[in-house]
Amino acid sequence: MRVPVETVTRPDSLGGMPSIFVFELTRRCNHRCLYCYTAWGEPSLGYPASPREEMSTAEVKEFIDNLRSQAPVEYIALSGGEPLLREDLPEILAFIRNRGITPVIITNGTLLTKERVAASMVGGCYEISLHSYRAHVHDRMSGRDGAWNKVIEGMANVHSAGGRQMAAFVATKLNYMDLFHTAELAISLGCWGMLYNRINLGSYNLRYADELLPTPAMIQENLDMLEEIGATYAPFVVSVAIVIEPCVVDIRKYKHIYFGYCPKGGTNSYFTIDPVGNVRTCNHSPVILGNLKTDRFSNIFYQHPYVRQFRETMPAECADCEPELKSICRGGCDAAAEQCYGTANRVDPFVTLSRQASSKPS
Amino acid sequence: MEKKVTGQIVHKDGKYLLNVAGKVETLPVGLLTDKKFLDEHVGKEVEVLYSIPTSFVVAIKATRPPVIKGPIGLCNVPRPDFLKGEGFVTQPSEAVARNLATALLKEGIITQDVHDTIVNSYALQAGT
Repeated sequence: MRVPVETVTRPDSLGGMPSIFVFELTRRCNHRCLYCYTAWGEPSLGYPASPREEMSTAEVKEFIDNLRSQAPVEYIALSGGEPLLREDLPEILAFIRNRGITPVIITNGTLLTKERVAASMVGGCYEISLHSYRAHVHDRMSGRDGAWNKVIEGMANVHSAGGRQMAAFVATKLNYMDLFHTAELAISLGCWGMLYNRINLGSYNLRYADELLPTPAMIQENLDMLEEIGATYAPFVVSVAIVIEPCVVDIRKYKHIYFGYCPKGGTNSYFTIDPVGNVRTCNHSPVILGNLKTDRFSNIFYQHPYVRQFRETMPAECADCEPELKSICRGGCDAAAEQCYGTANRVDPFVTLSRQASSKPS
Repeated sequence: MEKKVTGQIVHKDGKYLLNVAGKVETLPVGLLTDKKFLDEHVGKEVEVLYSIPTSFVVAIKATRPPVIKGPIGLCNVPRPDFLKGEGFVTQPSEAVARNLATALLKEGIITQDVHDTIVNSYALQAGT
């Protein structure tokens, strides 16, 4: 049921408020992924402390109703940390569904026992990390031995319970070569699609950039694989979610891959609520815009100076880009630039480091 | 580069055969697809899927384009209407998925235990 949205001053060029929100239910996580980008994972970002602090069940419900009173909330993605570490997750899911909102669980998949799946099901939708068909590669990236076995078991449990799931593949130097068979493994486990995300740099994982950052040639190889997967196994969908900047890899020739771009804080954005109610433009951004306990989301969305800047920023490095590409890409991930450089006015560090890698003698 | 291979289903002497550019092989009913599908497509052109890199017929299917439009994720958040399954179907058939598991086992990509876990999930789903 839609709740009337209050009328506030908004720019004429901006559409309505978003309908998708991410709730980071907890900072707790049972992994230590090499590619982790969470803002609280890196002390230098100065994110507020108390890693075990999180909203109570009642507070989560209150925040959801708070948002519903201001925005046309249709979907909530539950994330973290690892959301399955919360014992009250089934209760939260039931609350969300009773409000007519569709929940999605973003999980590392290792806690999806038969019992937990049964408790979180009823139209359950899952995004589950699967980084390789080789156990030791997946475990290395997850920072946890034995993770892969648990993930396979978890995905099988979701499949046998009739849940819908998609595999999320984070591409790095360690695993990019495994993409094709990993996608086939995901298909055999009943996945509906695969999200291909090249590693998105942040303050924590930047230290591993040499080890992790795939070269443009590796990305190109992966896109060729995805094209093959999309063509061969249709209707299975392959989608690139984290932006691959067209100046790094020419993506225009691919017919069976769907490419996404940052919605830049607009109507199609997914603003993120952290474990204590702080609001950010997305789950990669380290910038806190306010808190649902004290601030109106509608005011943040329409009037916060940082949000306006986030929408309008075009990095100086992109000035000479082709207009068509620039209008779509707009400098890639601003949040990654914010994490790595302290400003969103620079181009995505993925572009900078990729160019540096390309210019090195082979 | 896209490799689209098509062939024709033939029903002869009680057997279903697949003719791909003159090369004929028998299609075991039940393993790749069911009898109803084969009966409906006798004499028709179908697309043949081969597992890569080894040529192994994984499945055959009536040619049809996917109906999903646009990316299925916003950054790293799944597009919820995609997961909700509103208005489109993207899950490959059970026959394709099962045969992929067999092919992956045969190629040594997965172990017997993993293969069995996958196959059991279909059996359990059937009983859901």
